[in-house]
Amino acid sequence: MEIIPRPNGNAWQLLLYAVAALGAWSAATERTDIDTSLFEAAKARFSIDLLETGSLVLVQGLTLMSNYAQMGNKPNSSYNYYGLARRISMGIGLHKEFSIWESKPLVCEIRRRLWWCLYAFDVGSIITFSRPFDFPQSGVEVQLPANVHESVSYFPLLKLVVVAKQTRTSPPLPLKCRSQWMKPHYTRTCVPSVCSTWPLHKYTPE
Amino acid sequence: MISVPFLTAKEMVELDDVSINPWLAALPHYFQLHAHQPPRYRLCHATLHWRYRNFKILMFRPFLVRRIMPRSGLEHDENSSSEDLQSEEISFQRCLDAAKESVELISNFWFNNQQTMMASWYGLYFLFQASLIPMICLRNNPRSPMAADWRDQIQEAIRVIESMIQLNPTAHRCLRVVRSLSQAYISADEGADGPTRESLQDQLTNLYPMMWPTLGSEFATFDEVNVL
Repeated sequence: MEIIPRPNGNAWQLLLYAVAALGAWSAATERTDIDTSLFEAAKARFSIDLLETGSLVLVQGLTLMSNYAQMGNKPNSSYNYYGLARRISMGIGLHKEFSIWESKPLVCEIRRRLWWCLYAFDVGSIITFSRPFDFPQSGVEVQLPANVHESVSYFPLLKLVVVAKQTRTSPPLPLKCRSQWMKPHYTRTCVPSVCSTWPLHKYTPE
Repeated sequence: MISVPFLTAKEMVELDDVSINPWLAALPHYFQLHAHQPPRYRLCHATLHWRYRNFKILMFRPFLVRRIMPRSGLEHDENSSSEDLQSEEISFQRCLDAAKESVELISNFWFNNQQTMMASWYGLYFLFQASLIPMICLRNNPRSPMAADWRDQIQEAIRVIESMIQLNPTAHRCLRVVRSLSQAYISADEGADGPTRESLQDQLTNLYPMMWPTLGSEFATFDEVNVL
């Protein structure tokens, strides 16, 4: 098994505690407040200085903090965190794919998954709370993630991702989130018409 | 839902057919409603299908409200075509079906799977909104031929919510609301007094924060936002 060294810095710690908080909350089968303390630990590691940095880890951490806040019935806090996550993600170019990255299919794949997870969470939240739809639509050039099982280890994953790209077919392995990503596309056509008088043709599924 | 003018029933049914139903049909075979799920995918599969039905409820609820509250003044325009009337009937039915299926699916999931906080959060959120539908219907038409079915749905919802109280603090508040709305009508005898005498305006005012639970109702913690 390959061991990837732990990155330095508060962003990783923030992610660690965000994951722990969400895990503690969602897996609970009896009342507990362990998740509250874990989330406080995540927040304590978020300083204003982090806004002058950018990394995959930071985007992941903020996205998960946002999800936790939403589960804690704090929709406005959640909305704010998603905004931060989204801006930082575009700052590190998650909304684009560069041909120079072709040589690193695993990295590409991780970036794609992060972008589309953020999309699904944020758009779902926007629709649920009837906020103006402001998730970027134009200027985004990111393929959907490959239909590859997460449990596949590092090197076979590289091969599979390359093969999937080349043959344009999906290996026969499930990817549970794919439908979840597509639903916001379809819902987008409905909700704006329901929520405004803008004509339907302005919102077509990509 | 918050726009003026609201879409007609015909437009809403078309949107459903053009946008939402193709999405459902395009779900991979392994994620269709009755496809067997390994344990790790069960909750996410379930919430997807609950969410789909919740959206149908939201889309068609205004037409159900219009139909079920006869003193609303929102009855059919005399100039409505038979096509409009047919669309309104379809909307009414789709809302009822979505609500009933939601109650069944959520109850079935809750009592046959691990009862985690995550399952409770989503289950309660969708179940509460779904249960409003038979409650609105029963309160305004306690002698309808469908009343028995509405009572069953409400009682099933209560059974699920009661079971969630130990784990999820919000369940207690939901249960209080459901009981207060449905108590007088839940027994077939008590409904004999007739429909609720609350005016349409009062009913809608009281229901509105429950229909949109995040908009300043008692369920939404207004997380330290200074509205000024």
